[in-house]
Amino acid sequence: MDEPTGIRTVALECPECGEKIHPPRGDVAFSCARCRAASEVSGGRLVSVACSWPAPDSRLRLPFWCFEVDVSYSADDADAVALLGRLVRPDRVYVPAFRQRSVILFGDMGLALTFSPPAMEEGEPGRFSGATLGSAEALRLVEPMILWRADQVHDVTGIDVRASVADRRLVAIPARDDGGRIEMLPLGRSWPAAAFLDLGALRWLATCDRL
Amino acid sequence: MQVLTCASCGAALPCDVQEAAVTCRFCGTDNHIEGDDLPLAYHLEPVLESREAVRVVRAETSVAAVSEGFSRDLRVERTDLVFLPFNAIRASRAGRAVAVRERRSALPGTPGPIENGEAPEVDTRIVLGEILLDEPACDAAGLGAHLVRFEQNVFGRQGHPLLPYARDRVASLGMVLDPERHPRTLRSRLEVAGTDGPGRRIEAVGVQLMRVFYPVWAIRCVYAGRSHTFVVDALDGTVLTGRVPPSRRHAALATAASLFAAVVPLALACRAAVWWVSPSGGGAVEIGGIVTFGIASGLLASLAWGVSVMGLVTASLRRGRELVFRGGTLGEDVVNLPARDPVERLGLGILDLVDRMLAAGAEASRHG
Repeated sequence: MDEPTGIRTVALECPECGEKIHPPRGDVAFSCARCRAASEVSGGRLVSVACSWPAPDSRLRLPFWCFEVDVSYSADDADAVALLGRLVRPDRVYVPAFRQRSVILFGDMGLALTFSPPAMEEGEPGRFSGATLGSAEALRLVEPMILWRADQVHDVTGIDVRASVADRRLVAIPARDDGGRIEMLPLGRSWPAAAFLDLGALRWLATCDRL
Repeated sequence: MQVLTCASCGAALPCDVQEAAVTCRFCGTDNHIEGDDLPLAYHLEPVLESREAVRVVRAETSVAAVSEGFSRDLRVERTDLVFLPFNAIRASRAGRAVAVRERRSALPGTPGPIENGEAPEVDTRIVLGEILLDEPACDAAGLGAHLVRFEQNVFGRQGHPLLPYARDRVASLGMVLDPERHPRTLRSRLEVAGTDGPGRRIEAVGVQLMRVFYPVWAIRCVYAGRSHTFVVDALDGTVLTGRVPPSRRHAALATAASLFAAVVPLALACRAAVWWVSPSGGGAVEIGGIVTFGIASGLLASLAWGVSVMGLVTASLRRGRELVFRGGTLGEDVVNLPARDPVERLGLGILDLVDRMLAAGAEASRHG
């Protein structure tokens, strides 16, 4: 019985304390039930990831990748570059680590956090589930998200954006789930449950009482 | 079969390499499996039990268009829960779609900016969002696989979560149709969706392959000596496929009603024609018109009822005409069934003869 080439198994055990992790299927980033450390599958192993737990405490937390970025624009039109550099230059870009549905219809949650960043105080570490998008993949969405916003300010034809990433971390945003709508508590804004493609995975811990 | 080992204890994992996540039965460690084109396998638990599915079939067939007594006299022979495999692929999309449009002049016939040497209008849109594609993973058209509204039913439905595919659990519930296609075949569609059209530079991010086993009830029953098979969605009770005999009375009445509806305007048209050709509109002509109208109406009515009776005979003889469920809607379909008995063969022979006579008549009139 030969080991298949090109395919490898990664044991889901917390890299900090060795506790076994039992996530919903499809997750690529996890939180440990014992030590609350966050980790993700990267390069064929589970590696620790910095994670923030904004207050207030909540059973449901929505995982976002947060990239600290230095944004710069380049184009022939110097006026456009100056305008965008002044108006669309976020320090942090939040990319949902979960799947959304109909972003055009419901609005992108990452854009809402990025361009209307709430004041967030650190709370107690908790748990999250439903993170199906890894940081490397999420990073590829950073520049399009900035351009999306920039396009609302000025036509982005011929304009390139460059986002230098200084740091990345997971942010588990506390949320309230009333069945039909999910409210991101720090933002004070809610989305219909239909806007979440993997709501079952996001609710995995909250509904199954695995805390 | 390729065999993987648990990254924690080294035990062989109880799966062939088809799924991107599996739990070690020996040490209980969840293993994330990294590799190209490994789908995540899920299944959905049925909501309807077999007797509820049968009840749905009886309810859906107890309508006027279906043969009288069908739902009552239907004898269920067997019910099977079948899991239909579906392939799905989903990803985030990000990129630019650049549209180059020619500016048009406001006034027709006058030269526009293009003709005057101005640059065409370039409009850039940033594309950001999710894309989800799915298809049946097997050719089970007879089982209604193509009629399951997979995306809506599976991903959009609240309360029916996708469960990690558990082979033993699913096998204990019903039969599992083997998938014939791998979800990787959807990658080409994903690429087309991302790059079609000029000026589109859109890439897929976070591509995830999935395989979902969707439950349906296959119900085999007998009515009037004939076998009928229905496929019922085990989640929402939609009758996906199935054939039922039509009500002959209903068909005859429908034919008569439609012909009657056609005759009345014809009779009124005849009446109007009589008034129009009458030179004076006087009493004698009026009486003549009424008589003409009566004769014309009588002829047309006789013709209509004659055709209605023919329709009734046709409906009763053409037993191959059946009603078909397609994804929850009941429509009429003609099925080429062999004739069953001498009377039916005689009737079909007459109908065939009439068809040929009509065709010959049409041919003769075309050649003058």
